[in-house]
Amino acid sequence: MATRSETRVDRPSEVAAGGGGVGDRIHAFLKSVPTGLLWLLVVFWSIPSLGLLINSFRTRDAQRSAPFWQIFSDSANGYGAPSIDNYNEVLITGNGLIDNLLNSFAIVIPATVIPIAVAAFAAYAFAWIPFKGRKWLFIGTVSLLAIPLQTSLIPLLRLYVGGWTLTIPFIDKTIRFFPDLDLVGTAPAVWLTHSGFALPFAIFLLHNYISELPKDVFESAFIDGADHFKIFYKLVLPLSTPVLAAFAIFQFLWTWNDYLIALTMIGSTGDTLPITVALANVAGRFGQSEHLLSAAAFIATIFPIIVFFALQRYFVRGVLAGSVKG
Amino acid sequence: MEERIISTVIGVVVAIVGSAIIFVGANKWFDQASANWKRFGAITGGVLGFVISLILVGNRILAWKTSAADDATDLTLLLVLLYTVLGAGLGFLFNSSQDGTRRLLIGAIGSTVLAGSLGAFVTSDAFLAPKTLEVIIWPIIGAALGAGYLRLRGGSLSGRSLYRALALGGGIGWVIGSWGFGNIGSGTRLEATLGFALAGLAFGLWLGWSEYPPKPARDRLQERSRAVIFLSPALYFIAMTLIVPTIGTFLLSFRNNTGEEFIGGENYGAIFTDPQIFNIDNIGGIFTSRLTIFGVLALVVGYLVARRKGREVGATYDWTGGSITPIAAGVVAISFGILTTLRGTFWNNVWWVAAVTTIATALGLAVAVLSDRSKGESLAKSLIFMPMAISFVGAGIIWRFMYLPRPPTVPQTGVLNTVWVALGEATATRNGLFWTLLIGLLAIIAFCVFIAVRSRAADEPSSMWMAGTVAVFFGLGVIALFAGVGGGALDEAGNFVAQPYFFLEDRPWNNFWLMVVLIWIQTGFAMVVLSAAIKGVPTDLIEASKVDGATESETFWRVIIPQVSSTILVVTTTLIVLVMKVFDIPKVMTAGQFETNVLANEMFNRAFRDANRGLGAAVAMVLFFLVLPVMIMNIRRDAEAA
Repeated sequence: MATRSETRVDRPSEVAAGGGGVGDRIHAFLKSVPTGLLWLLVVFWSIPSLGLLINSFRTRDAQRSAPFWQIFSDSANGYGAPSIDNYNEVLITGNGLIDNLLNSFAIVIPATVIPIAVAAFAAYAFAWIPFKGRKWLFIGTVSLLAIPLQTSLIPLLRLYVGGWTLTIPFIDKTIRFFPDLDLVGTAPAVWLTHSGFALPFAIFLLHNYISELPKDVFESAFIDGADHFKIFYKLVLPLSTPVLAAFAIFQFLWTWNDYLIALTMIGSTGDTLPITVALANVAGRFGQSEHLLSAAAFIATIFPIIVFFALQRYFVRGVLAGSVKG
Repeated sequence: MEERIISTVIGVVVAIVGSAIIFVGANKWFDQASANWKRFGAITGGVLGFVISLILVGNRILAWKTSAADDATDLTLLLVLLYTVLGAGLGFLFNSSQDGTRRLLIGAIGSTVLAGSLGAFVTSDAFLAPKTLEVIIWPIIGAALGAGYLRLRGGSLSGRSLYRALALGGGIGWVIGSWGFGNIGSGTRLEATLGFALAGLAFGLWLGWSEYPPKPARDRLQERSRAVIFLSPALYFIAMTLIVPTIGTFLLSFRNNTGEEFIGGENYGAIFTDPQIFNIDNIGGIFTSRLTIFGVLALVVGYLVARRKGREVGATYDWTGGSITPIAAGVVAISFGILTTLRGTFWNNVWWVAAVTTIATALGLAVAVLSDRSKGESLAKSLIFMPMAISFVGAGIIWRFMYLPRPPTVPQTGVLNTVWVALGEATATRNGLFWTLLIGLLAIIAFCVFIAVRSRAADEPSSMWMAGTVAVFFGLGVIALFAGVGGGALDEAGNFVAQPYFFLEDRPWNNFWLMVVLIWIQTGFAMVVLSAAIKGVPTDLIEASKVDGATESETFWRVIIPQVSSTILVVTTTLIVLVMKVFDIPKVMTAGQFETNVLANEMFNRAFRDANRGLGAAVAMVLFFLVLPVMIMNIRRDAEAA
């Protein structure tokens, strides 16, 4: 890989190859080629999103007649000048996506807060409270990370429709474990599901961090007579803020962007649809609302993008802690 | 609108505050185990009274109305409160006495009376009619099992521990024998009262025969309870949303469309005989596929290079860029050859996993290396990472605009088709084609010069790269000469006719165009993880290999790649699991039409659109079995690490 040389190498032969002035310049140019390649890739990577953003301001005629980079000649071509009309129609006058945004927040906030709390307790217990079978219980919990959530959907939907009763074989008696709350079509059905599905990853992520906290902190606290609960909320919680933030961003992005669970638990009609389902509905009516689709997609994407750029450092930390041990 | 916001906020606050109170309360409760044993008894008794009466009320066994009339006030919830208080009182009283006989008396009598008094509130639907035989046999079996368990645990079969085991086993046997096997609803209030009271007596005896715990035992209880308190919310959530439903799906997959009738493996049979899902009719085509042939050639080249270079460095084989690149290309080409020949939803899924995982990882590695310590590294990485924040639905829409074809008579507006048709127009004439190929040739020559100069600078053989590049160029050139480049051709009158490419309808390659969307998203993930791993390679190691005279490329393949190989494995497994359950992208872009269906979408359609629960569950289980190897591998890795 030629690229590495530009920073790490001071090989004599390389210096020698430069020779005189012209040679130096040629060599400097050649050295910049990998960087050029990188930026070429970056441009390719950005074109799709950029195109969507630009198109979202153009009129229906403009979008249907010319590619996005001709935005500046739209008025000259008689397609109508770029404006925020599409946003106005999508958000307020037409599709009313503003309601769906609120629905999304109603799902995302509890679905982010609940698993953080629950997973923090569990991660602490796995890391610092010795008990029998701890290792295998932890491995078992974390291995659930790989379970495709499709295997849970049908029974979960039935749970939310009719509660959970267990009929004991042989004696034919039925016991009710979970009441019939008739949750289908409501936000709680979605955030309860998200909370459960998020836990294996959350426990894994928080455990990686919490188990690496210095041991002497705990020992001195124990000597001072603190119990686990006190240590947990006085020491561990404040020390773990970075990883809690990392997981919160993860979970925010994941629940905000989720489509499958919302579609299963709420369906594709009704007035509790989160933004992703509403967006997919707009996409489904491509013929009529083609010109609105890019504005709708941008609205659905703007909050995750803001969170992403504002808190990227924490997010990257979360990605790393979640995929690489230690 | 506002109403909904307010109700949501209230719901969230209630849920969070409620859970917090329960959690903190549970911790405070067990604090008392070592601090104040009497208070601990009172709380424990209260909690037990609350939970037991709540379960009985919830299952409509207990009720309390002021009269039998329809308009009578329902006091049932007061009942829960009453038994919470009574339980707390009994617990306090019990834990206050240290003397063995008094403990036995308080435990047995108190518990019997309390349980028996429940009989006054039993609804007529729950009047118990026990069966004589079961009521005698089950307590005996229970007691025997209790004693047997005690023996297994190594306890001595005498004295209090024996009595306790007998009482507990007998009590559980009594509940099974009377309530389990009896006819509920056809007996009398007296029999129901007896059913409660004897269960209470057994519990009371078990409790009463216990030793008054000394301080160390209470401390141990306090300590151990924490693990349970800290873990139970998480384990409860996981059990309710993952474990129990997965078992449920497994059982359901052997049942018919309504989930009522057991039909054995019929659903699985239906999946693997459906040509839409599992079609291997063209299996012979694998060997004649151009991709397979190219892949085999690439493998041979890779092998020969490894052999030759290996001999140069004094090893049997040499696994560096010159040999690994063609081998990797060959493997990908062969897998594509196989997966474009075998059709159906199942094979689409396998193709998704193979393509997205390898390409996203390779691209991620390339970007990580290219950007390492270059100017503007963090901005470049941010922009490539950004699609991770976009939903699959949003990404699907973004790429639908990229792929969008317009009718040939109007201008194209989708980015890729605009370029494609423009290229077609430029090369439609012989003249245009000539100039295009010439420009391409010049670019290739420039690239070869670059390779040569770089290689001389780094003391590396460059022939491999040059030969490869030239070969690829001539391959493309020949194709271009015969088939033309770009979308469009001249008609008989010499006018250019555009031919936009239908990315989402050209089967089987439309599958690949959908995969591109996920590659676009996931490359950022692979890049971030691999970049961190590369930066984590110790600098001394790299320095040392340079001192030993290793070239840049050798350092990369022999030092850096082995160092980050475990990370590559982690990235790959993460991606496999993620890609296996891809759903949103095909759903939004093609709705699974034009042979682009995937298993997750198949499962959704079968289970929820066609309301065939059994078949939907079976498709979900197929997905589960496909990720099972990854899961087992992860478990083994974790077990070694722990």
